[in-house]
Amino acid sequence: MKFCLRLMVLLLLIGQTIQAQRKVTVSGHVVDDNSSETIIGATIVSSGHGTVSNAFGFYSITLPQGDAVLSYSYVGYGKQVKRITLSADTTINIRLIPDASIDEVVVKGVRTDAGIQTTGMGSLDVPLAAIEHTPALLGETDVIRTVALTPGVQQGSIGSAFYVRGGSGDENLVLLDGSPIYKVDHLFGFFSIFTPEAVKKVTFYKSSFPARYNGRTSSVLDIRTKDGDMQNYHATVSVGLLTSRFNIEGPIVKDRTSFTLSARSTYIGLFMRAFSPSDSKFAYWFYDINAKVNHKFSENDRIYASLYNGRDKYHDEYTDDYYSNYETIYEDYGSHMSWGNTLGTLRWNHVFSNRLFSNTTASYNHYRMSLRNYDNTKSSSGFDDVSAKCGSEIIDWGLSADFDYHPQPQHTLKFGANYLYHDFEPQTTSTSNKNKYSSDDIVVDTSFHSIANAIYAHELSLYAEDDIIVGEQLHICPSIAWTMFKVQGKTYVQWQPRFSMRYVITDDWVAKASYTRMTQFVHLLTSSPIAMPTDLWVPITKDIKPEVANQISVGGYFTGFDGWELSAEAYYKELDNVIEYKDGMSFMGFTASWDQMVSMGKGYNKGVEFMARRNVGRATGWVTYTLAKADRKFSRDSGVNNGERFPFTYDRRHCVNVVASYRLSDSWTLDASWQFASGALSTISTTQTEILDPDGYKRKVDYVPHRNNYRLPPNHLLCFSASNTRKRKHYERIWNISIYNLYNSMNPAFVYVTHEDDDGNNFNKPKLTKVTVLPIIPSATLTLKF
Amino acid sequence: MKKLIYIFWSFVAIVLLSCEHDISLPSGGAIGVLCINGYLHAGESAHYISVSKTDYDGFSTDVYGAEAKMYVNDQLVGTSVYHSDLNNKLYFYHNISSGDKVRFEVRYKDQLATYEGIVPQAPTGIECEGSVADYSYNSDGNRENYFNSARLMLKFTDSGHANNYYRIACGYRDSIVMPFTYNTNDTVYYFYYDVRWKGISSGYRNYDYQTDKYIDTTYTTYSNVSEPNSEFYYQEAPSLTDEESSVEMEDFDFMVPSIENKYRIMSNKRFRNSSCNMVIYKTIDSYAFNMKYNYREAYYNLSNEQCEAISPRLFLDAVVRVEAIDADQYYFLKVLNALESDYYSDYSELTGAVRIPSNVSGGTGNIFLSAYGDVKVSILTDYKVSIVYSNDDTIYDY
Repeated sequence: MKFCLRLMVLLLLIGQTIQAQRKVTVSGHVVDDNSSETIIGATIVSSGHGTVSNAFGFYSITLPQGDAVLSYSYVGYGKQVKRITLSADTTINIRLIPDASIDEVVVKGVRTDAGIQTTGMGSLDVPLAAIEHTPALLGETDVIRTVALTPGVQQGSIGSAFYVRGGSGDENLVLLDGSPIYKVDHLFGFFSIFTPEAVKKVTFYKSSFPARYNGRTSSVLDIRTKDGDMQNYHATVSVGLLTSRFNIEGPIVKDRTSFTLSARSTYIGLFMRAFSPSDSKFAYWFYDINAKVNHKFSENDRIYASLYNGRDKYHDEYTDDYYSNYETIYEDYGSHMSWGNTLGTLRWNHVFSNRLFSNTTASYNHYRMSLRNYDNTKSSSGFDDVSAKCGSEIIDWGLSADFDYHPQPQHTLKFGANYLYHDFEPQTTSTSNKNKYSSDDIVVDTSFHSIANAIYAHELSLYAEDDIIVGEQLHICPSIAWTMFKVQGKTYVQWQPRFSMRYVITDDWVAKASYTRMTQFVHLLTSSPIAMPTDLWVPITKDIKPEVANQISVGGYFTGFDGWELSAEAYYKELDNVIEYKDGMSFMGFTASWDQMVSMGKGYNKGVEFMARRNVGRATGWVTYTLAKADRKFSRDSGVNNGERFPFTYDRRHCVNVVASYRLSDSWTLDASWQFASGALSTISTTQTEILDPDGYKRKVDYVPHRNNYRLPPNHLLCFSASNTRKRKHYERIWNISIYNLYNSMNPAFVYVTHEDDDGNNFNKPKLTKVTVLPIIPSATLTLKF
Repeated sequence: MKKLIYIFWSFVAIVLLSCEHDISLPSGGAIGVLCINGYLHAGESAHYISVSKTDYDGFSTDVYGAEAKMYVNDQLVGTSVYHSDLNNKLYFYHNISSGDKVRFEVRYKDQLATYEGIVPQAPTGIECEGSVADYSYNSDGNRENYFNSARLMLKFTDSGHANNYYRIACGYRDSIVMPFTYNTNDTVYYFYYDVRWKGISSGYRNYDYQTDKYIDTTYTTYSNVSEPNSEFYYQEAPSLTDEESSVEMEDFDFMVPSIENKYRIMSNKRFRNSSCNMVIYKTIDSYAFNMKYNYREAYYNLSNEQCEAISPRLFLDAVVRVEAIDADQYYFLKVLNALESDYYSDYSELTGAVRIPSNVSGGTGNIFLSAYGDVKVSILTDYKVSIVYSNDDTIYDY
């Protein structure tokens, strides 16, 4: 580890010695000309030097004194060029004009793909246009679905789960405005929680992770929400088949304070209610609310307060009355369930100087799941009320300080510290019974509460990363993170060195390589492919060590064809302390001692990914192909698959994605996506065997020779949508017609084996059945923008 | 939890429509894989392993000619060949002790299944005190006033700092000594224990249906033995419940399916290198207790004094077994606990098939080695059943 630190100091010194000429620094914010919304990831280039604006739109670039030409660009915006004579440090705030505003029919993008322009690799800026133009289930634009169409990423069999480079779902760090969020889906994973209108920027990393990101081993999905228009009021209303949403934003004090408010809700429950019995009350709905206020005190100080609240709620209630023991008994019974996140953050941006920018964040994150079942009876002589509750909760308090420092033209330094206090309450249960059976009785109250199993943990990380220009052709980015996780009296300390480099071979060819180490301190306990609200996030324990991933990647990028970006990346990832349930175990029923039910082992993931992407012109989109393999290996005495190596659940050998968008005219846009992936792995049993219990009794049970012993048939899926946009005097109207699974492919969500027919007769051979969850589904959405 | 799955499928079925199609089974499969199972206990000299092979429906015992060899500390101590009379069991006769290395090799045609393990150390310092419980728990976990239970306070010592695993079993031995005749003035009553109905009956001769003979002794003794098994309740034993709800409760099941620890296994997580204390309740399903209720009818016409004079005498011992098992057996029995709950039937379609743990190489099945210690506890000694008949037809039991 000392070697890494020395290397960083050495590289810093190298950068200093290269500097001989007097330099000045140009800094400022890049904002949208219409809304004054800060632009993240805008590219600023001048005579061989370049930088990008940070998460708050701030940039800083140090250049030689004298005449300079500064070029500012970002996809979907017109490029701006500034000619300036530099004699002292200067602040230049830039307002980029959106393409739509300059009335161009086709997208005039620039090379802004993060995978090519930055020193790091395996990262992708997901343009909002791409998200909007990816056909989705029920027309519900979904960030995660778009990400899942990029190379190396697989979509779950249902909805918004995604798996990156053979990793499991809990290995993805999903950040909302910089704070990790636990539950990212609604309705068992069919919809993600991210309201499209609230999203400003989506960046996705699957290797070469910046040191500021920690805590997961597969990927980072960094989602930033809009700040709110500082100039004008806007509103968007969107009505779909099952959900509706709106967004409103505008200035509170022009050019000083702005707000944005987005909300989304569903009326699925109304459809389901139509099928429910008449003596019942049934309701299901989910909602998301995003609110943000920001205030600019000066050019150097700005604060942001943001709030996200989203929940799923369900209840069913029944009433009944019957005659018993010479009196009428009135009964009501039912269930109430609710689960979701509340996330609040407070940020303060401060520009210390042209070269030093800071962001301080305080955050509060609360995930809560609550289930209640009740059965109350009442008669003239007494009553009997019974209820049972089950809950799960996570509360995170966070404080972080992040700094961007540009000491010299050759260096872009980021450093900071993050602290999280976790309060996990994985599961609490209680029952209550109050009764009084006759008028002479006293009320009897018996209740039971499970033993509190709260787990408190401290997570601290310090990091530093430097993007160094060694020469015109070579950029390197050494970085390091130090993390500490304290739980159950045990402290785990992890050093996570990371290194990436970019070598410009020619104007059109770039080669990159990276090494990263990532550590994970939490796991999601689940026994089902469906995202259940009862899935539990739990921290590592004194017996379960942190999961560690070491990944090396190499890649080549070509931009020689006009408007096209071609890339190929290969990776090899080795994981330590991955956990798997021992054979036959699952967390259901064993929650308090889950760490005894799992074993730690090793994981081996490798693959190559190809991508051809076109960002400009009438037709845009991308084509990807991924060849991958993911295995797990546990020791002989681990109780996992007899110690034999086995393919991991999320191993997919081949994966092809095609995403295309064609702007037919000013008003019509056609979008389509097609996916093909090797079948998922499943553990099935086609034969049976004998087991013996300790009392000598024999029985037959299913026999499974190996884990994940069956690969389901391949998945392939075509989705299509057409959008019609009409501009009216005061608003814009967009009709979107979409068809999910256009040719009704019967893709298997899962399979099951039956040994008996409906009458209980054994088949000669068992029967294998596949279940398709999402056949062809058309939908329509109307959006009005004011 | 069932509710959640219901919602999920309702949504899928009503709104999105799900479809099912049969698809072809993968070729090959796992037919005819050799399977061996057995439990071997230290201190015992007769053992058997069960041999079979996998099949589409259940298992096949068509493994004639299978040959098994047993090695103890690398020495061959027995060979057994399977033939039709053995009910797929292969027997071995050799005493094994804690610390012995036991190896089995079973050959059938071209298959060789092997197992190797070390016999665990028996638990030490087993102590137990017992008494008649004045209450017990029913299968729903609710307390009920039963008199046919023994309350047992068990203590034993865990050795070492490693993970150790235990299984608790409990049995009983009871006997009843009872008079079979009583002469009241003009009538001679004959009482006997009817083994068919497990109760006292009266008649003119003391006839034993079991032996089909008349009995002509003044006193007769009936006894019953239950080998140590897992059938007891353990509400005051957090080590056995992992401090979770351990009985299936209807109100909880839909949310958090609970799995009863039917095989009474536990790790030393809560008492590593120290002593384990627990209170367990054993239901005594014996006629020694049942007769308290049945006796009344037979003595219906007798006065209290007469009842008192002919009261039977009860003797009851509980036998508590603490068995040191290895990790393989612990996790295997945990899976069996789950298999016997509603859990897997509710979830198996979603979670996929359960892979039963196996510690056999080259085949499947499990051979388990264990070492146990028994302790006998007297619950009742020469206990006189006192039955008083009263005018309101109520029996008071003291």
